[in-house]
Amino acid sequence: MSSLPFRSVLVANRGEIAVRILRTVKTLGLEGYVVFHAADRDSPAVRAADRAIEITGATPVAAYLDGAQIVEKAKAAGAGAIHPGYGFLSENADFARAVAAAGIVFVGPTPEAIELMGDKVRARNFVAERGFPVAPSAIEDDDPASFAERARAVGAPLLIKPSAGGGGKGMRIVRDLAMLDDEIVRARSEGQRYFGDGRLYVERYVERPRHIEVQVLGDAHGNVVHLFERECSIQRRFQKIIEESPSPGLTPDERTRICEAAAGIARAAGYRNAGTVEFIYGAGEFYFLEMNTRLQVEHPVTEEVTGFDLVAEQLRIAAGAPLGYGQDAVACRGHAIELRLYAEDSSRDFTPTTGPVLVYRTPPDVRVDSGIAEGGRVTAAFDPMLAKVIVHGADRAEAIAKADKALAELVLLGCRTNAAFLRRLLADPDFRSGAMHTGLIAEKPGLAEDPPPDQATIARLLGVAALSLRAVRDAADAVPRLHAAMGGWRN
Amino acid sequence: MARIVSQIDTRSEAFLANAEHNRSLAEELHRRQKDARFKRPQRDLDRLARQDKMFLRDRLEALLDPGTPFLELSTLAANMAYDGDVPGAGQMSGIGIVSGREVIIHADDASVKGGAWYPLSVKKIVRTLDIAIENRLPVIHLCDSAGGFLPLQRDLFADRYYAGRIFRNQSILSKMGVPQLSVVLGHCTAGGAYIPALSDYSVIVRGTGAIFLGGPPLVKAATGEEVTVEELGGADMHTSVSGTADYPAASEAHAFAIAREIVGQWTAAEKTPIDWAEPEDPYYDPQELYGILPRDSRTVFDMRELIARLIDGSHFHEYQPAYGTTLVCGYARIWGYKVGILANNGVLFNDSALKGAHFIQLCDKNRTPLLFLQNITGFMVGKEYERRGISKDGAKMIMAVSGASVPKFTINCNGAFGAGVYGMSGRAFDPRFMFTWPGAGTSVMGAEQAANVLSDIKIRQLAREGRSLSDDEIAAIRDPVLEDYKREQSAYYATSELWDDGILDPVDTRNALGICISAALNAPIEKPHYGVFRL
Amino acid sequence: MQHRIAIEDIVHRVWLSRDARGHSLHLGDAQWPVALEGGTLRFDGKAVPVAVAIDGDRVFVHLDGTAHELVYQNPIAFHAAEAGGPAEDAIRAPMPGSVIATPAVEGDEVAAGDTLIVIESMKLETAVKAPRDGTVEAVRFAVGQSFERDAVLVTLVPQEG
Repeated sequence: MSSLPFRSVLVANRGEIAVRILRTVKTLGLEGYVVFHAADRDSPAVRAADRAIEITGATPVAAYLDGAQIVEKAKAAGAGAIHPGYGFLSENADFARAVAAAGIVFVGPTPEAIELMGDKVRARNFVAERGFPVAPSAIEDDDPASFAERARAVGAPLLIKPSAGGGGKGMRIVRDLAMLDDEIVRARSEGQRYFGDGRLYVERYVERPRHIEVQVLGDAHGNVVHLFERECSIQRRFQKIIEESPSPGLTPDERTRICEAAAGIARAAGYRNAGTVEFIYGAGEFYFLEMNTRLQVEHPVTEEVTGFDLVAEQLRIAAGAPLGYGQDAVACRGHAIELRLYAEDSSRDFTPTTGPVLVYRTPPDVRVDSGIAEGGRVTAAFDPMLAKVIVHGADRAEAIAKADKALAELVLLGCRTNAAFLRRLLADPDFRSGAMHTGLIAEKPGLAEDPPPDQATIARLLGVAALSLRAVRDAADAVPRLHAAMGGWRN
Repeated sequence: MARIVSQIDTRSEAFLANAEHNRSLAEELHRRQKDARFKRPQRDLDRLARQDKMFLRDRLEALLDPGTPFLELSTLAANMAYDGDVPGAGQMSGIGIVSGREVIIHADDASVKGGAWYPLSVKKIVRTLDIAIENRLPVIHLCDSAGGFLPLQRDLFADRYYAGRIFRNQSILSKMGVPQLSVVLGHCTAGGAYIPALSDYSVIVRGTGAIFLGGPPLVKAATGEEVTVEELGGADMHTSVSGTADYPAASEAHAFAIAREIVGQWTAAEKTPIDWAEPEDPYYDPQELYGILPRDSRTVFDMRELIARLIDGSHFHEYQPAYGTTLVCGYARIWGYKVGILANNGVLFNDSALKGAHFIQLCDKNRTPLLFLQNITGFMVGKEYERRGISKDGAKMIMAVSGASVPKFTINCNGAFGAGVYGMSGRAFDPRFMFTWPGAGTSVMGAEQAANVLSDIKIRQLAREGRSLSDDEIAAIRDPVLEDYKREQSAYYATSELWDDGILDPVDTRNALGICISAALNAPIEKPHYGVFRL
Repeated sequence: MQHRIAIEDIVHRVWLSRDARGHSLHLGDAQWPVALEGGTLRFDGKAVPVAVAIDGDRVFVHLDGTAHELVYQNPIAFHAAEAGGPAEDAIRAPMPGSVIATPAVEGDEVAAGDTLIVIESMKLETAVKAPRDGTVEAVRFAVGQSFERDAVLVTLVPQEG
C-alpha cells in the first residue's frame, strides 16, 4: 500500500460509482477527493469524500464534462490520481492526456487505447485483422460493383442498412438469400427516399442475440488476464437492466473461447488497466461488438464471483504495479446477479420519475451500490439510475431467490422505481430458464404493466393512508365520542 | 345503583299480542316516514335533474360526516294537512355531525312543490331555529325554495310566530354568537333572501343559486327592467359585487365541500359539564318495549319495565319508592349522561304531584337533566282530593316544571291527556325536545270521554225540548264525534301539526335521547329559581 | 362526504372513524379496525410490517414487498376542478426533463397545435403544443432549466366566459 506513488485519488464522477470508488480508495488507506456540482452538494459521494471540490457549468452534466476545469481543480488540490468512473470523461482520450500532462496519474488505459477502441470502425478492423471474430459485413462504398456478391457472402440472416441512415429506418432483415436482390433494390429506393442517399451496407444479423461481455485487466508490463464473462441480455432500448455472471447460456467450451478472445484482443492492443470486451452471441457464434476502455456499471457481478476488487486492481495498475498473478489465479465461484434500480415508471412506457427520497432502507446482507440517501431528491438533472442491487448465491437459482427477496425488502419511498418490474423479470420463465436474448423485454410488453393491487391490498393501503393523512385523522378525531359510538344510526 | 328486576313474562300471550301490535305500528311509522322522505312524483324528480340539482337526501349525504348518526325531526309534519300533498311540509330538519361539529340542519325540499313555504313549513322552520336558540346549536340552511305559498299567506305571514320569526330567530342566534351557514342551492326570493343575508357564512352555487328580493318577472312588472336570474342575483354578482354571499361554488358538490370546510373552522363548542360515566347498553333488550306497551292504551302496566329498557345497564335509583307511587321518580343514565326520570304509573294524586315537584327541584339543584315519560290521563278528581288541595299540588308541579333550568326532554309513551300533561312537561313547558310514540295520543280528554260529554250535552238539550233519542240516533251523534276525536288525538295528527318534534319508534328512543342530551349541553344551565309555590 | 384517496388514478371513497377502542376504516359497506404503530399496520386484527412516508397530499407505502403511492384529493380542489376549472390555461410537463427551446414567448398569439415549448427527457425530444387558441401569458422555464412531471411550463391568458 505504501508503495503507491500517489496519496490521494480524485474521483471525476458522481452518484453511486463515486461512492463505490471512494470506498476502495479509503480501504487502501488513500485520501479520497471528489468533484461536485452544486446539484450534488448534499449527495452521499460528497459526504463520503475526504475533500469535495465544487465545479461549475451551464448545466450540472456540463460541469462533469468540463475536463479542463477538473484537471485544474485536481492540480490545485494536489490530487495524485484521477479516477474517471464510467460515462462522462472516462473514454475521452484528450482528458486522459490532459491529466497525464498535469502530472497526475490517470486511472485507466492509455490515451491511445482509448482512441483505438473509441473509433468503432477502427476497433472493428483492428480486431478483425488479428483474426478475432467480427460479424461478417459488406460495405457498398468499398466496391459498389461487387457489393451484391459480397452481400450474399455475408450469409443469412442478414441486415441491410442504409449508409446514411439512423433510427432504425430503412433497415431490412433478409432471412432467405433468394430474396436478397429484390430487398437490396427496395432498400436502396427507401434510402433514397428517406435520406436522399441510396448507398447501403450489409451485416450478419444474429437472431435473438445475447449480449456477452468479458472483463479484462492488463498491466503496464504486457500481462493480461480475463475475469470471465458477464451476461447483459436483459435490456430495454439498449439500456442494461439485469446483468449476471457467469452466463447461463454458454457451454464451457464457448466460455473459454469468448474469454480467451477477449484477453487476446486486450493483449493485442497492449491494453492497460480495466476494460470490457463486448460480444454479440447467437446460435453458437459470437462476434466482437466493441471494447469499453473503462470500468463498467455492472462490474460488481464480476467482483462477487471472482472475489477481486476491480477498483483496487485499477489503482495498483495505475500506480505501475504488475498484476502479480496469472489466469489460473482467477476462479469463478457461485453466481452473481445485479439489478439496476431506475427512477422510472414501467407502466407509463418507462417515463423517468422524480421525487424526494423520503425513506430509503436497504436490506441487510445485500450489496447495494447507490448514490442516493434518505433526505435527498431524485431530479431530472442526471440519468435515472438510483442504485445497483447485487446478490451472490451458490448457484443461479439461489441468486435469483436472493435477488427477489432483496428487491422486496428494499424500501424506497417518495420516487417511483422499476423495482416491481425487476421482480417480474426475475419471475419470468424465460429468464429463469436462462433462455434470454436482448429482445426479451421488447417481446413481452406485458411485463412492464404494474398489475393493479387486489382488494385486500387496496383496503390495507387505504387504511395506512387514512391513518397517516392529517386531514383524515383529524376528521375522525373531531367526531364527538357519543356520535362515533352510535355510528350511522338514523331514525 | 340497583338494576330494575323485570317481572314480565316475555312468552305470555299478552306480551306476544302487544308485540305484534306495536311492531306493526312501528312498521307503519317507518313506511310512512320513508314515503315522506323519498316518494315523489316522477315529474318533480325529473325537474330537479333538468335543473342540475341534487335530491335533498343526496345533499344531506354530501354534507354530513359519514358513519355518524342523524336525528331527523318532524319527518311527518303536514302528513294530515293540505290533502297530504306536502310531505314533511316540504322541509327537512335534523341534528347531525358535519366536520365533527354538532349542527342542526334546516333544508328546503325542492322536490315538494318546488320547496314552497306552507304555513306548517314556516312553523317547522321557526321550531328548528327555536331549538337552535335554546340549545345553542349552530345552524346550516340549505336554501332552495319557490317562496311563500300565496294562497295560504294569511296563515304564514303576518302573525308573531309566522315567517318574520324566522329572520328574528336568525338575528337572535347571531346575537348569541351561534354560527349559521347558508348554502344557496336554488332561489332565495323575497323573505327567503334574508336567510343567507342573515347567516354568518353563505355559499352560493353558480347557475342554480340566486338571491333577490324580487325575481325577474316581478322586477319587469315593477319597473320594466329586463334582467336574467344570474345577472340579478346569481353567484358571481353576489360574491364579487354586492357581498351578499361569501363563496361561489361551481357545483353542488363543490358547495358542500366548501361548506364542510367552513364548519370545520368553527370553534368547537364548550359543552356544559354534567355527571357522566361510560355508557352501557340496557340490561334488557329494548325490543321488548313492543311487548310491554299494551295494545289498548287504557290497560295498566308498570312503567318501570319500560324505563328498564331505555337506560344504561337498566340501573335505576328510585326516589321515594314508597310514596306517591303513581309517579315513578329516579335517577338513571342514558348514553352515560345522568338523568332524572319522571314516569306516570297511574293518575296523578296529591302525593304524586308533590313528589314530582320535589324531585324536579332536586334535579334542578344538582344539575341533572329531566326526562318525562308521559302515560297520563289526568289528575284524580273528587271531593276528597279537592279538599286536600289537588289543584294546589298540581300547580306546584307545574310551577316546578316551568321554572326548572335544567334541560327537559319529554316522550309521550302511551297517551297524554288533560291537565296531567302540564305537570309532565308538555309542549308548552319548553322541553328542549319532545317526541311521541306511534300508539300515543294527546288531547284534552280521552276520545270516549269527550264523545260522551259532547253527545250528552246534545241529548240533554233535546230532552229539554221534550225529545228523546233512540240508541241509533245517539250513535249517529256520538260516532262522528268519536271519529274526529280519534283522528285529532292521534300521534300522526300531533306530529302533523308540529305539536311534537317527531314520532319515534320506541326502540330508537334511547339513541334519540342520547343525541338530544348531547345537543342540549351546548347551552349553559342557569341557576335554579322559581315562582311562588302555593304550599 | 367521504374522503377521496386515489391509487393509480382510481379514486376510492373512504372514511375513518374513531371510538373508544381505536380507529376503523370504512370502505363501501365494509369496515375494519385499523392502527398504525411504528412500522406495523394492524388491520382487522392482523399485524403486517409496513413503511410509510408522506409528502404533502401523497402517501407512499411499502407493503408486501411493493411500493405504492396514494394521493389524497382535497375535496374543494377536486370538486372545483371537476365542475370545470380553467384546465386549459396551464400547460403541464408530461414527464420530468429540461427545456431545449422556447419558440413561444409572452404575448404571442397562438393557435391550437402550435408548439409552445420543446423539452427533452432521457434523450427524447418532445414538442409541447397549445391545447387551444389563445395568448401566451407566461413561459415559466428557460432553456437549460429542469422541471418535474406536471410542472406548469407555460400558461395561457384565461379565456372570458
